[in-house]
Amino acid sequence: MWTEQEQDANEAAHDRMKDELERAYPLKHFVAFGHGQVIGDSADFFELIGVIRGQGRDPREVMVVRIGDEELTGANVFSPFPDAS
Amino acid sequence: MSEQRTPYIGYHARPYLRFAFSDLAGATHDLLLLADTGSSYSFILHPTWFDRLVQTRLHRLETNFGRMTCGWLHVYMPEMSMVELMRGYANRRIGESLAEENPDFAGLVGLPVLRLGEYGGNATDFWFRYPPPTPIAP
Repeated sequence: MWTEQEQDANEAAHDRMKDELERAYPLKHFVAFGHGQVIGDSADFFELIGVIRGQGRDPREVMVVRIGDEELTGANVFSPFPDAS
Repeated sequence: MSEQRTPYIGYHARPYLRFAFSDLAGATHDLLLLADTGSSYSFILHPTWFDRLVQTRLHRLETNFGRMTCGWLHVYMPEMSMVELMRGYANRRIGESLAEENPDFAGLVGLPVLRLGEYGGNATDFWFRYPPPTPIAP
């Protein structure tokens, strides 16, 4: 089951390791985080899904980043709904 | 090149498109999404749909609507030659606002997706064409 706590740990691990990962892997490579650690990587996203499942994990609990992508942490949503924001 | 052309719907005459997503079990789900050309997010879904369709997670995002969860979605529309892994977001307030507008809206599709092809509108319809035509060499 996905939890905010594990997501916190995964995001913190990625933020901490981002530069190191970008040196270690080519652009567009996928890297998976679980329990605040790297748990797998692959050039193919769906192959990585298989790796995650092979560890007995639900992929929906895991964070997978793509090397070279910018991860935003905040932004405004300009709503098409006048009363919603 | 394939085209989706849809009439505006609802009191506010909203443009919409149908997008299909594959879940982790390989089942395909067709969603009705408001077409928001002003949105800088690929997809924002109601959390119920996001939880059903997300493949894996990405960094969450703090916004003026509160926190948005984020993950990879598998867009699966082979009939339009669009089979892509794309970022999707979920936010309950946005999802509920969309559902108030039209209970069939499962979320919205924004400019990062629309600009992959061609989109447009006139007095009665909104359309999206994909893939875009090959540029003519000078």
